[in-house]
Amino acid sequence: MKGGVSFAGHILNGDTMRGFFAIEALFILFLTPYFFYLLEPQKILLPRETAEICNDIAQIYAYNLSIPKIPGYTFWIDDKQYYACAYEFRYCTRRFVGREVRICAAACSP
Amino acid sequence: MCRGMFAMTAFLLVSITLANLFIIHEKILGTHLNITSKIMNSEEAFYRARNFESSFIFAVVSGKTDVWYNYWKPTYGYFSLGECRQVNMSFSDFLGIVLHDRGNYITLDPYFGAQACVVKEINYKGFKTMGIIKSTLWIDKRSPLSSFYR
Repeated sequence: MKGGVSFAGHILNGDTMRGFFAIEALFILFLTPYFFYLLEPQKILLPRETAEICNDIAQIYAYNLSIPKIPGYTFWIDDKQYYACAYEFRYCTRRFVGREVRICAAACSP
Repeated sequence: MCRGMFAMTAFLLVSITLANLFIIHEKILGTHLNITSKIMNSEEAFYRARNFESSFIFAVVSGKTDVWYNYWKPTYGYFSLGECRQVNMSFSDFLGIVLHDRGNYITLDPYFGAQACVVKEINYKGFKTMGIIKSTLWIDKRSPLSSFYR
C-alpha cells in the first residue's frame, strides 16, 4: 500500500516520528528501576531448614533432654525466648510433654 | 490515525510484556512456597503421631496416664479383623488389665489373648496418619526411650 498503513506512523503519512525518541527515553527512565528488580538474585528463603531445626529441638525437649545452643538460631519454649536475635521467619510446632507445649525456632537474620 | 499511535501501541505492548513477566515471577515463587508449606504440614502429622507414642511411654513411667488420655482421647481395646475395637471400660481399668510391672520393665500385654491396642487417627491440616501402640510393648523404666516391641 502506498504510504503504508493508516494507524502506524510513517514518513509518507506525514508522521516524521517527532517525539518518538522522547517517549522512548521516558520508557527507559521509568522502567529502569524495574529492570534492576528483575536482575536482582532471588532472595532465598529456607523455611525447611528452620522447620527441621524446630522439630529437632521439639523432639529433644519432648525427650526431657537439655536443649543445645545452635549458632544462628533462636528458640521459644511456650513464649519464653532463648538466645534472642533478629529474625525473619519463625516456625512453630507443638508437643505433648505432660501438657501441650509450643516450641518455635527462627534463623537469625545476617 | 492520531500522531503517536505507534508509540502508544509500542508502549502498551512493552509494559504488558513486562507486567506479564512480573506475574509469572510471582506465580513461580508462590508455587515454591506453597509446596514447601505442604511438605512441612505433612511432616507435622508424622511428628504428632510419634509424639502420641513417645508421650504414652513417658506417661506410663510417670504414672500420669489419665492426663495423657484426657489430651489424646485415643481408641483403646484389642485388634480384631485389622481394626482396634473399643472396649467398654475406662482407660484406667483397661491399663489395669494390660499393664504389668516386671521390675525394670512395664509391659503392655495382650488383652485376653488378643493383641491390645491404643490408637489415634492423627489429622493435621488434611494429612492423616495413625498413632498406634500395641502389645507386647516393653517399657524400660530406667530408659523409656529404649522401649521396644516384642
